[in-house]
Amino acid sequence: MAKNKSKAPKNSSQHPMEDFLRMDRMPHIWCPGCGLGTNLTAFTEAIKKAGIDFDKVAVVSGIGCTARVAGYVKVDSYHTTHGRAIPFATGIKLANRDLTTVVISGDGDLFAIGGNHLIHAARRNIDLTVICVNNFIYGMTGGQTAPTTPLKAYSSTAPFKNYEPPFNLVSLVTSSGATYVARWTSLHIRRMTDSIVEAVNNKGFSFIEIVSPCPTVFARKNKKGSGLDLLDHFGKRSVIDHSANPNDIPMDLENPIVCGVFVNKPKPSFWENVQTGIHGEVKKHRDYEKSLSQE
Amino acid sequence: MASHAKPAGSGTKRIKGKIIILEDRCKGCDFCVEHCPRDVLGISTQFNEKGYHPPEVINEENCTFCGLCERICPDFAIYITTEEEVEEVKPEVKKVYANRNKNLPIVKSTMKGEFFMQGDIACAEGAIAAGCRFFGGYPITPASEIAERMAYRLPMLDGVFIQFEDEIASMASIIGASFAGMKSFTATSGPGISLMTENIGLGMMMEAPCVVVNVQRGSPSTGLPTSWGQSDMMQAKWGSHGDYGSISLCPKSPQEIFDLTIRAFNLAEKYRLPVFIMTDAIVGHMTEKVVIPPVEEIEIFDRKYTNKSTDKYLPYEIGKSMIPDFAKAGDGYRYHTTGLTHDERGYPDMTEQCQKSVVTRLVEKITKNIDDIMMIEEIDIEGADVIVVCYGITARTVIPAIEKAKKKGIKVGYMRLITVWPFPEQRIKELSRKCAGFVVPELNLGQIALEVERCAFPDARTKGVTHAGGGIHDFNDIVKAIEEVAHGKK
Amino acid sequence: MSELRVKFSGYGGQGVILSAYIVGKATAIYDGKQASMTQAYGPEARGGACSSQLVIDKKAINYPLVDTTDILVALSQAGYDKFLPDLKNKGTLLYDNDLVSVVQDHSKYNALAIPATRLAEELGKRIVANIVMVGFVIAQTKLASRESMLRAIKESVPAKFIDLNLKAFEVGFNYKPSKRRKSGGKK
Repeated sequence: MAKNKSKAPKNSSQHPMEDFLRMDRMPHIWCPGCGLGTNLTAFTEAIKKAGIDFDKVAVVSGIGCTARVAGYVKVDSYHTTHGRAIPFATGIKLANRDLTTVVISGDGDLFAIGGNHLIHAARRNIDLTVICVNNFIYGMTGGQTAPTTPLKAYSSTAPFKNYEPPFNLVSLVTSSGATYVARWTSLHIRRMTDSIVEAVNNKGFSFIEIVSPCPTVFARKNKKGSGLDLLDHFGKRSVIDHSANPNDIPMDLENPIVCGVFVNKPKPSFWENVQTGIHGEVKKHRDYEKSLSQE
Repeated sequence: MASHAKPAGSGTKRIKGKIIILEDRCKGCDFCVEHCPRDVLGISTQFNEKGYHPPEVINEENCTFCGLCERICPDFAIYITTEEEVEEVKPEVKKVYANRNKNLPIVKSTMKGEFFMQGDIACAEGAIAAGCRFFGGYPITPASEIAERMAYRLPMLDGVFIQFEDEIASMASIIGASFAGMKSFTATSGPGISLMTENIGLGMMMEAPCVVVNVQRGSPSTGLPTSWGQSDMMQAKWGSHGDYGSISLCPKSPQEIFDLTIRAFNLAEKYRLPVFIMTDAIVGHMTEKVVIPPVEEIEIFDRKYTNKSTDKYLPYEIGKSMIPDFAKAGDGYRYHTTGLTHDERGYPDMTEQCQKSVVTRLVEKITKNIDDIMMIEEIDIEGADVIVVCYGITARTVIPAIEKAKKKGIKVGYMRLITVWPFPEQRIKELSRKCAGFVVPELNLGQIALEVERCAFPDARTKGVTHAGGGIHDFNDIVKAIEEVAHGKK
Repeated sequence: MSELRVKFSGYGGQGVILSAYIVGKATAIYDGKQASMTQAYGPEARGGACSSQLVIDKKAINYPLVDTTDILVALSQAGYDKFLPDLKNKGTLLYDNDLVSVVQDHSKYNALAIPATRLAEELGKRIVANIVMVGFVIAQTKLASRESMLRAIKESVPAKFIDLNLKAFEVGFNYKPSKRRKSGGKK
């Protein structure tokens, strides 16, 4: 292979992301044309824009391509077990309520193996931001069907096309009680960033779906060309409609990808409810102190 | 990131800037080339180190330094700088959720005095006395009383109680809480432990100090929910996939549950791992006098926090003690940890050498500190022909059998394993040279008996007295086993 | 008094476990003895067979379970039928003679009957039948001192039911069992 002669300045320390990423781990493991790096940039831009101290941010992920984000973002970051990022993050958040706790993981991790944790965290309105990068497939394990794989798409476990209908993520999360719900594609870099700012500022369960290209397995198996082609394809298909009803905008292979902020209705979070509950009930336990001591 | 310049041609001053391409980072996706609104970039004919064609600037004069290329690049390989740095927006550091509720009733954290108290409640009180302020759990007989007690006690201590959707989540949450600096625990029974096992492995790998209480019942599967057993003893050692050192404490009474729960937290903090309390439905549901000393008389050990500066700290750097110093989330250390095999920075390291050093240390941090961890109770061991090895509730139910055997003239020694794991290998080996054999009664079909046999062989005989659970041993079976071993002596 | 093994039996919901708890607390905390209480129950929250076992001793209790029983308290026919065979010769049987209607030969035992549930209903709350029975047990067996029992009850029941429970205890404590047995015991 021909060696490049004229190199760009080796001094990569000047890259604006330097302070926020673990540059000693670059290059990352993601494939050429994968949207994850773009999404990560949007996330870090959003934290900066929200004015949050990076020392007070914890990122938790599960297992999968997206879950590797936790290894690259330079905050307290936890790469946990498959599907369990949300309960792990719940532990962190409740044990230190000063932390902005963000779960960044993939569609398989959050909606298949971790689906139960997700809907319950949404129901409780735990103050977490969950960013789900949806690439329609299990990338890291080689392109198997995910609960998001569109009907009639190919995967390595759907050689005769996928016959299971996928989840509509925004609809599921909305009906579970999330107080902030949005969907974007990796192409909506500025809107996605602004949306993450809103999500981390929402004191409750926030969910953002990012439709992101997987060139190596999803695009290849479904003849969608390169990562760039898939990104362009998303761009052409996406429409922004904040007023859309999340139930009416499922994902498939042809119809428009409806993006926007569908829910932004703060409610008291889990911890706020705990506090209210204690203050309401504590009068009934006047003899509490007494009951702790005997003779 | 550089601030966004106004678009060119809008009549304002043109902003000078630079496009910087870090060619070796590029993976040739062409996102920047394709999405540049003013066609500034093209694809270079050159290859980079990895064989990709990086972008090159072809129409520099068209560039407005809008930064789109920088934002869309998935590989952090391109960025722009502008000369007219229009006020670098320094992020204003603000604490977002600094509103700890100060209005909570001030209550004493620890009970004090003599109580007629159930084992499960004593466990909860022991945890509180040890400084635990986080409980994540899921209801299960016969451990639910622990959760119920914590639900009542913790909120008034500014602690956190949360009932999860399952035990998988419960275990994940207490590891998370531990990394956020709270002492945390969960309590369950066999079926719940099976679900927790996945994240128990994570806790072992990440070295998260926390406590897991197993109030054992009849097993396998749903087994006997309201009845007793000791059949999860090997699960406590080998439950998760992989090798790791395990600490398991076996209390025999409510008082000991209280004391050993405190000890479990101390050991978890000291050696950084999930520590098991292996009790059972009898002891958990047994009510006896429990003496809770004043809080100042309770010895508490807290994990060692690092005193290094944020730039010098490595989360898995090992000093003399084999235990890495701790830093909690939110203290500015901004470190990474993972369930993958990791180096001292906490970064994944897939090498054979790293795997060896990590896994060996996870085992040896326990086995090499066995003298500090291990607790055994011995009665009439010197000169004994037969030694009864027991733990948990069985350590009480064997007493009448031992007395009977002694009346028959057999020299019986009594050895109670307060810590079953790490196992007292050396002590059993030593005693095996002095006695005829060991009798191991337990409420399972022979788990710790195998461990005793492994250590006693070939010098002494080992005879297990098994029981499938749901009841206790027929005392005659134990007497018979003692006699058998005594009379078959060398 | 050396070691005493006591079994309380009945249905879930009758307060069988609370009965043993109160007696155990009175002996272990206020009378300065040792007490160990264990319990056995089935999956039913209400109505299943349920028992609690109490061992009382002056010295440390090693063996915490109750096989051969010195004192059997029966608040249900099922508990009576199940546990009577474990009662020692000359052991004491205390039972609710409205709920345990089919009785066996009591000649080997010191059998004492009380209509505890009926007496509790007369107090207005059948839920205190267990405490009526406990009062009766204490009066007949002297397992614990009366003072300790009153203290243990006050410490163990919800504040607004303390008076009712103390009243129930006194009713049971002062009940004089009739010499005539309800059915065919020969004694």
